[in-house]
Amino acid sequence: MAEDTFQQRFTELVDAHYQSLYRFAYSLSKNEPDACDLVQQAFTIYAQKADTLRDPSKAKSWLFTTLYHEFLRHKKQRDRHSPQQHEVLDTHLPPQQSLVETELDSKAALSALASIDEIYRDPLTLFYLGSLSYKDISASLGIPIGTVMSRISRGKALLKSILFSSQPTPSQGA
Amino acid sequence: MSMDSDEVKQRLSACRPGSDDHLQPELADAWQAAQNDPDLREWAEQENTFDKAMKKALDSSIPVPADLRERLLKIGEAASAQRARATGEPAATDAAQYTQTAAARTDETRRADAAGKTGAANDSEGETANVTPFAQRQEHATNAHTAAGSKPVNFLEAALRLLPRKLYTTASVAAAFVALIAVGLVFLGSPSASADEPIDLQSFYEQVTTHYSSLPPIGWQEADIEKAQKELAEQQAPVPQRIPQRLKHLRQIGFDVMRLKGHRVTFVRLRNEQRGHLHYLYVIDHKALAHHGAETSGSGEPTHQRLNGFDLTTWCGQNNHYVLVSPATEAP
Repeated sequence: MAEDTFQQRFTELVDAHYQSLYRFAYSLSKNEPDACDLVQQAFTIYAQKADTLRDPSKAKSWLFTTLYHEFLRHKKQRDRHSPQQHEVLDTHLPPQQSLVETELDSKAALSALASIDEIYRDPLTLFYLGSLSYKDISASLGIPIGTVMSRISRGKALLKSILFSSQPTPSQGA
Repeated sequence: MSMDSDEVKQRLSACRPGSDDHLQPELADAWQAAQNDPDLREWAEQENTFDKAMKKALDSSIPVPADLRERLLKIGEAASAQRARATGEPAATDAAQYTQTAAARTDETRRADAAGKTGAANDSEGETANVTPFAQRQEHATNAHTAAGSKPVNFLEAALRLLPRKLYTTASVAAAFVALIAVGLVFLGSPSASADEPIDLQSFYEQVTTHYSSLPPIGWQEADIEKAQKELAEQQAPVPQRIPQRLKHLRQIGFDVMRLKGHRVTFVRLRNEQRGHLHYLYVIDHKALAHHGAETSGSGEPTHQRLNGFDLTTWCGQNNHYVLVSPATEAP
């Protein structure tokens, strides 16, 4: 009976989050097999640790956090010398767009997201694709809430600058 | 608390559209400020519109693989079956033995990573499946030896306690010596002493296709074949040596080692870059296979067959038998 409950809970968790987890994983790894691996690993670890997760409502952010850490671990294995990350110090907000049209080209959106520096991309990906709250993003990435807010805000400004104008790409401007 | 409009915007940027984030303590002031300022209110509405459009666009830009859900549910099935076994309930699925590999491997590599050395992990899980990862196997093998040795030691100790006290010490030393030899024999005995059951070739094919169907994660991300060979040799796992020329276009992504009926099986993940499909190459020692002389070490020329909806390309090397499992209709 208990195992039925476990499997039911597991299935519900998969159904609720696997798509957003996959998209997050894909945005990190940039390829399907690695993204699938990351999602599978996150759920595999969950299957092992489910009993230690005290608050079931935290399962979503736990899965995202685990996936992110797995990605970092693999990345660390691949390239031991990861490039130094620099905060963009001076990002100017683009002029306000009159967003009459609410349709964005999906490829352009993904391309814009992919082109910005990862210190902005990761919180934004969690924000958009994971629908995580800023608190959960803070926990997942291990950065303070204020920094999350700052990076989301700047990241959005960078996205807009790419999507709505021909300004230089933000990573170039970093 | 007063804040300028830039600060209000920065904070409200963190509000997810359609959520109640604005009620959170960190954002409530900013939200209130925006409500009292027409410009900020308009900005917030536009931001909300942008966020919705961006989310919608991103969601549709990354298609999720159709079989991913099924693969994930197998993990749940496996974990559930494993739990049931742990509690003595009869529940077992084929998926269990395979996804357990992934589960333990993930745990293994995570701990190994923490220790700074891949493959050096121990796992306290009991051996409950036919397929276990290599590192787990070592642990289990050790447990098995210990268990085999512990019974005579305990028995002897119990018997010794029945002896007169004067004889006890001398006999204890002798018994300890005998016990050490017994344990040593277990550890150092010939492979046949703890021989694992040979695997029927067809059964092996069945098992690797089932394994492949879940596209399990791999423990070692290693694109360099020579490094992989070296690592596998160190792990005393089957080392892929003979790769037919026509498979050379498949790019190695990484590898792992699992255990089938006690035998180590190396599996290498390969990718067809043109089609983006994954192939798994399974390598097992001929000696692990039943009737390995006749059936499994033939001419070495690759042969093809279809099994369980997958294409199998099989061939023989000097020491190993190779099975490449591919998506149907994509045998190289």
